[in-house]
Amino acid sequence: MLTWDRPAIGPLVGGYLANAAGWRWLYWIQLILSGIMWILLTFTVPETYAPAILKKRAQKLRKETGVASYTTEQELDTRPFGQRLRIFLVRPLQLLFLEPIVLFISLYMSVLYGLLYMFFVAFPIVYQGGKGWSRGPTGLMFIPLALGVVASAFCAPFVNKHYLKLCSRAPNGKPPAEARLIPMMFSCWAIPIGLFIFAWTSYPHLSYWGPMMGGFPVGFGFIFLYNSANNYLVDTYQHQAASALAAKTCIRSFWGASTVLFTEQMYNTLGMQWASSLLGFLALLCCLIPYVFYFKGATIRKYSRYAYTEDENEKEITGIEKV
Amino acid sequence: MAEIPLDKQTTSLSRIATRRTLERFESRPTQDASDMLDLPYATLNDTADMREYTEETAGGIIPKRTISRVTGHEEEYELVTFKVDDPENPKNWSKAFKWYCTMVVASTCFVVAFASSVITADLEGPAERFNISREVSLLPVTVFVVGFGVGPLAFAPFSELFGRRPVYAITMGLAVIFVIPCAVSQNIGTLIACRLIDGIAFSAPMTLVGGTLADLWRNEERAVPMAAFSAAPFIG
Repeated sequence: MLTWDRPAIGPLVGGYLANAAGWRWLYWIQLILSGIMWILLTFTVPETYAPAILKKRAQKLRKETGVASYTTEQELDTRPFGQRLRIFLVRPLQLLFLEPIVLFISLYMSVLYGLLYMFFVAFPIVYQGGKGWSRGPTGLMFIPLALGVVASAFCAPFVNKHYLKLCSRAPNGKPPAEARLIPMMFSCWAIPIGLFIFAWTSYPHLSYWGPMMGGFPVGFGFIFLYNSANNYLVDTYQHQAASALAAKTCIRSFWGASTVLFTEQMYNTLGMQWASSLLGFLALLCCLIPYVFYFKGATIRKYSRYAYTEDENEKEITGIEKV
Repeated sequence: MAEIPLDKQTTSLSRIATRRTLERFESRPTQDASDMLDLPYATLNDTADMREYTEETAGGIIPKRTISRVTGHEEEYELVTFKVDDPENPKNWSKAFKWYCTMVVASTCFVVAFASSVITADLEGPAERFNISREVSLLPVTVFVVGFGVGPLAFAPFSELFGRRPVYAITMGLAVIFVIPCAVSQNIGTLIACRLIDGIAFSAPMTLVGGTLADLWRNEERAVPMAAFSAAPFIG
């Protein structure tokens, strides 16, 4: 599933680069790196999307054989392009406002992202403001966070194995969508733990190790939360999943973006320890959400207009929803 | 209609069984339920036969009778599919090349994540140069993230309509171009506006990468590439 967010190497390299060459080089380096990737992506990676490849093949077959009946589903669609465009641009917003599952999972992920962004702003406050460090070494303090992410990536296959075991036990080979929340119910606790460690070790006279290691559980827990939330939405909405995820990304980014703007004021007013603790309490409160959905999700889905149900499965004969 | 194996066990069994008796209409699936995201559901209507995209057939076609877009009457069509073991099916490419493609898209995500965070390393620089407040100096970071939220609404369906490659090429191209005015900007307005455009354009690789991996890897071999990719942007 898709993952993206505030990362660790950027500020680390950027700190040294800006010290050495000035802030404009923070942009020149983006130009160099993304230029290289653009060339590699455009000229060395061929089209991978089956519908696009097959459409081309159908066009070629029609031209070579003169038989007009070679076609693809995309070319058969009778709706005008404008109508299709409207549907797929409006659908995410419908899901966001009419579906409690999408709304609450999106809000949960938004709050978490907000916490994470604030966390990233808090590092310089603690190390540069509190301990009087310079930018370069402050960047190094993100390393345990990155290690947490890598560690959780290594654990992903085990989580997957557990899910497959649930699959083999389920009567129709597919457990309810709520089974996707199990990793979330365990990992959600890692976020407040990390934040509280960060908060109460952030006194300037204490060792730099404390806040730094607070990053590890946050990075570790976050990936699991993220993947669980995505999988849950995909399992619940199936055909509409792409729209549900787009809705989630949208609301999350808006909230995440705005938190950056008030974090510093918050830290100035509350002080380092209590401001970080506030984040911790918020994360703790959010731990309720996976449990509520785990036990009540099936009931909520029953009243949902867009959620995927088994009857629908029988109506359609596409065959792909059967694993 | 062809028999569709209901689960993986029957698939592997029937694969051996059908080696000999592979008839014209016999087919085998190349995707399963977790690929839901990568089929053009957003842009096709509910009657579309997704087997076209999920199965390799012996003849390379699935017959379908439906209403014509041109004449408005029902007509016979042949949906074009991949043939069995089709070398053009990305899932049948060599492991090495699939890994190469995976690494290119994962590195792109790394670069995008890097681009989003690298400027936080020196917010004082532009603040001094343009004589702006701390709050305003954070806006180039903020608008980039806003762009990240808006972009996926359009790019996911666009990739269904036009394929991954044009979307990657055009958005990354735009992103590269709009980094330049940021680097040489003479006022904060330019910086903020171009960062917003960059945020929207850079969101495309992040949106499409999961789809690209699903295009390349069969479900059972996907765990490791997925892990590699989900770590990349975080480390960036």
